Amino acid sequence: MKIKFKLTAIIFFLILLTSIINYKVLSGTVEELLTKRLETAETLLGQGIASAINRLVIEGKRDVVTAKIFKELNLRNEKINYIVVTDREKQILGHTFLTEIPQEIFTLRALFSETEDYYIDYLPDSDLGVFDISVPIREGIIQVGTLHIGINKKFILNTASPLKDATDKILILGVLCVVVGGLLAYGLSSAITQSLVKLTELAHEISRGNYDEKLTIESKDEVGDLATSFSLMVKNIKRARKELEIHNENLELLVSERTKSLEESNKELLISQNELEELNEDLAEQRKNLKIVFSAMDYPLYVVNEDYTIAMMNDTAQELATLNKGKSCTCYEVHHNASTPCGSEDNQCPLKIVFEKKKPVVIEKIRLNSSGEKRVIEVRAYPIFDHDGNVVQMVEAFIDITEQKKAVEENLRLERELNKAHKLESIGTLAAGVAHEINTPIQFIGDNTSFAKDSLEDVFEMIQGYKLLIEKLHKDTGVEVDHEVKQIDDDADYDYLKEELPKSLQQTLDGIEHVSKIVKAMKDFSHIGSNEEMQLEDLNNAIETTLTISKNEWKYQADIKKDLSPELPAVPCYIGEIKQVLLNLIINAAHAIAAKNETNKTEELGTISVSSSIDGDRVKVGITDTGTGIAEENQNKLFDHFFTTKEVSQGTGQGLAVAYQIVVEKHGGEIWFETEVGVGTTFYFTLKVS
Amino acid sequence: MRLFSLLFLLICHLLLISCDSHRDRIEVEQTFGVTESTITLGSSAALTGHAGFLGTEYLRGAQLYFNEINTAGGVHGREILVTAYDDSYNPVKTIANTQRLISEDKVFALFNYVGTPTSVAVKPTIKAANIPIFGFFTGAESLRYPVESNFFHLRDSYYAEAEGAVHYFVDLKDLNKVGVLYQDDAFGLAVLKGIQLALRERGLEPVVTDTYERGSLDLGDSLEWIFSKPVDVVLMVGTYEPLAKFIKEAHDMGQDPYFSTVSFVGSSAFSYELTEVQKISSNKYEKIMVTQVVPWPFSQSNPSALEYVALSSKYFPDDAPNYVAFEGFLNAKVVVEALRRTGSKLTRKKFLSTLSTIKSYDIGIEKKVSFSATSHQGLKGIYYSQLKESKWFETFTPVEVVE
Repeated sequence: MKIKFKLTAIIFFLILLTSIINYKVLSGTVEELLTKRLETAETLLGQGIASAINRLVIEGKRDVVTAKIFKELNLRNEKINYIVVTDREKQILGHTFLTEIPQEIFTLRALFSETEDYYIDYLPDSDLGVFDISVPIREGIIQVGTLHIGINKKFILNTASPLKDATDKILILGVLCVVVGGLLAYGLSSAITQSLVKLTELAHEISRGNYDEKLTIESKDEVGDLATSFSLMVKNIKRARKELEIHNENLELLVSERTKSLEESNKELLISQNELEELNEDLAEQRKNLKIVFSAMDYPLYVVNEDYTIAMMNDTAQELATLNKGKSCTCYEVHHNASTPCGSEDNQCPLKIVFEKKKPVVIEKIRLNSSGEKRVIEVRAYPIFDHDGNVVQMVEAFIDITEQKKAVEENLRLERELNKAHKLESIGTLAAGVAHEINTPIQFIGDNTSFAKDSLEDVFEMIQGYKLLIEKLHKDTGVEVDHEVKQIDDDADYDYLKEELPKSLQQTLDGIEHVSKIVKAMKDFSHIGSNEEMQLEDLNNAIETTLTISKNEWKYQADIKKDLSPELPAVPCYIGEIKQVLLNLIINAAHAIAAKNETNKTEELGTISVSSSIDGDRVKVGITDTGTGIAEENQNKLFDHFFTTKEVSQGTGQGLAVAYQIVVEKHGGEIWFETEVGVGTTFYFTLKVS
Repeated sequence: MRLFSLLFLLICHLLLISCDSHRDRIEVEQTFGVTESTITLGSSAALTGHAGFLGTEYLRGAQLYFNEINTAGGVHGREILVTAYDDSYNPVKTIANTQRLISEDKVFALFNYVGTPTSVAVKPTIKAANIPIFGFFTGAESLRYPVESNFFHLRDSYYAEAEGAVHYFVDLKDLNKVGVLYQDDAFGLAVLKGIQLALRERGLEPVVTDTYERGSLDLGDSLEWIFSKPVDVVLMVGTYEPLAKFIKEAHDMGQDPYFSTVSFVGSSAFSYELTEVQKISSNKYEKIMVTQVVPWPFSQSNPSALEYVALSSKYFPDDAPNYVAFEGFLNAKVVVEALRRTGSKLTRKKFLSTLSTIKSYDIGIEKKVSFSATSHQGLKGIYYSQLKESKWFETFTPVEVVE
């Protein structure tokens, strides 16, 4: 289609569109105006009447209602078509129809909810042509009736007539604009396109090789400018053509010259290619050597670029890579099977450190190997520098040092054990020495005190004899000595001495006995360590014996329950010492039950359960009491020498220490306990069967 | 095209700048009605006319408390003064008075307004001025909800009084035929709505209603209309004179239903009108009731009642203590407490925010005063009072009738 038609059509269409929109908007406004008017002014009118007659409606005063609505109708004759008032039963209380009431009235809205204040209905029927406004008549919140007021549509339309006229005028103006605008557009586009047509013709001429056609456009607008530029272009094309012809001739000469020099360069190139091949061979050789050296390492070795990609890796690393991912190319993918670089606090990336510090680093990492074992890996990373001293790459080796680590730890543990043993040994020696030194004096202090106590009784008997004699003498002779005897008694405080001296000596003896007990215990402890051969012994038998021996210790505190395995094998041990352990544990159990009774102020019999069983390659013995249990703060001191919670006279603080010594250090067994405060404690020990 | 977008940006920018300057404008609160030594409150109330008793007593009740406070040195060293104008229960005058109080007298706050039509009419003016107003001698719902930031009430609403009356007659006494006579204005309508709502809750409606013109004493038509239906109870909404006359004429017609009205009637004026002017026979006393929003002023158990009676005989020895003045007195008490809590640097804004934070404040009657953001009504609940031999409306505790 020609441009002039296109332009005309577009302009024509635009004007038409504008006119239609204008018309639509305006006529919409007319509608809105009418609705607004109905909703405000006319509704208010209805509500006014409704509130004025609400009492009349309530009281059912038909005649007054009718009079009132006729008055309203007459006041606004043009506007109001009718007024109808109904009561709450929808019965008509009054209306303004002169003839029969039209049926539509009975179909109108009559009931309203509390939030509704009006309802507008349109009755298009020919006779009426009205908007019906229904308004509830209310007293307080109760609807007592409904008022319908018919507003003539004609009247309402009249109020909007100026706007309506304006709308019509706009329509006419619109049509006029379309016609005039269309014509103008046609004229204008013809004028523009005329010049364009001329230019087109000229272009055709040039394409046929005719450069001599002259242009005759003289308008001073953009088309004129175009024509001038066009003429200039034609001139330039003419000149260019001439230069091109001259240039073509020169070109052939130039080509033959260039061909010659090219052949010479080709020869030189051939020579340098040979040299390059030699160099390449050298390089390949070096590369091979490097690879051999690399692969000699039995741990993964990488050369890594700054962007984590792997420049090179040895065979071990290659295996690892195929194991993990196949053809991955960054160090973290290959070695950690991760998608991002390492970098957390406990998983540092050696690459970052090396590039930052420009120094070799060694980092330890914990890794799980393919079978899920924890391995300690030492990562050694070394920087590779360029000529300027910048780090360009990094060599990274992963060495599994788990075994070395374990060995070091084992060594440390052994050293600690040895230290402990030394300590114990020196305590033992000390104890033995002290025991020996104390034992002898204690022996004779005890003996002498016993002797003094026994002798004292004889002395008292002797004095008693003298007293009897004196009394007899007095009876027989009547010599008065009674008074002097009494004086002597009082001076010496005889009665008191007779009472207290034996007691104090007995207390001394008790004290001495306690001291010698401790000393004996220490001696026993120091004697543990004799190197006689162990004998195969029946542990059940040992338990029975020990229970019998210790009966005095537990019979007032507890019942014994036994659960001894009849299949118990004989165990190699020093039976005397094991009996000592059993005895200590049973006595402790009895004491724990006694202590519990004391704190609870009860005298209940507790239970000591003794069990033996087979536990793999060991025999396990358990002694359970229903005593106090062991407070948490004491639990780790339990096997220490001299630790006791018992009263001074009751415990030496050696029992469990000795038990530990015997079971663990002498027999290579184990001893431990389970306890709950207030419920009881179980001590276990195990001995190896072979 | 580029030019257009540039222009558009420029316009947007200008709009933004203008918004900013609005925001930056600093609000300066001027403190009106407060000097070093005084705080001035303003009131418009009916001091003359057929409701004159109400306004006079309402303000006197407050005044005697202020007198006592002022004698003791005032609030933070400031005396409380009240500027009051008479509006004769005429809404037009109320508006004029209020405008004068706000813009000419420049009082600190408004206080103790009397009546529904008056208060409802002046509400937009007070709301626009955003001046604090405390205490209305009306229970109109439209002054309470929606809650306005500067409106505060002490007494419970007419809806509560209507609900109370309906509860008493319908629930407790089993009387279902309720007639309503109400003053033909906003006051009458406000209580009528309360009664209709309370009855509707119980599935009922008033059996008959009628209105009478405010101030009119010609109630012949209403009598005829109301008693054209059988009624057990007539709930009345109005002022003491016409209501007393209505009761008397009903008795003369041989009608003997229960009569009840709301606190606005002014109980002592009402009782005087009934016993001394209309001379109702005393055996009909017990069927006349008024719902109250404050307790019996002669109650011996309420410290505030004792205080009020003592101060009343001190400052206004000629006035008999009454419910209206007692309510005014309690209003003053809350205002003084709020002023005290606001502190010496007094502004309207601070005063309002202090008021709304008062919680469970003991004003010396059993109930406590509380305000919140969603309720600006300090007291909740009503009292029942009955005309007694003493010619007083005395409060009583209703008991359910057991058949």
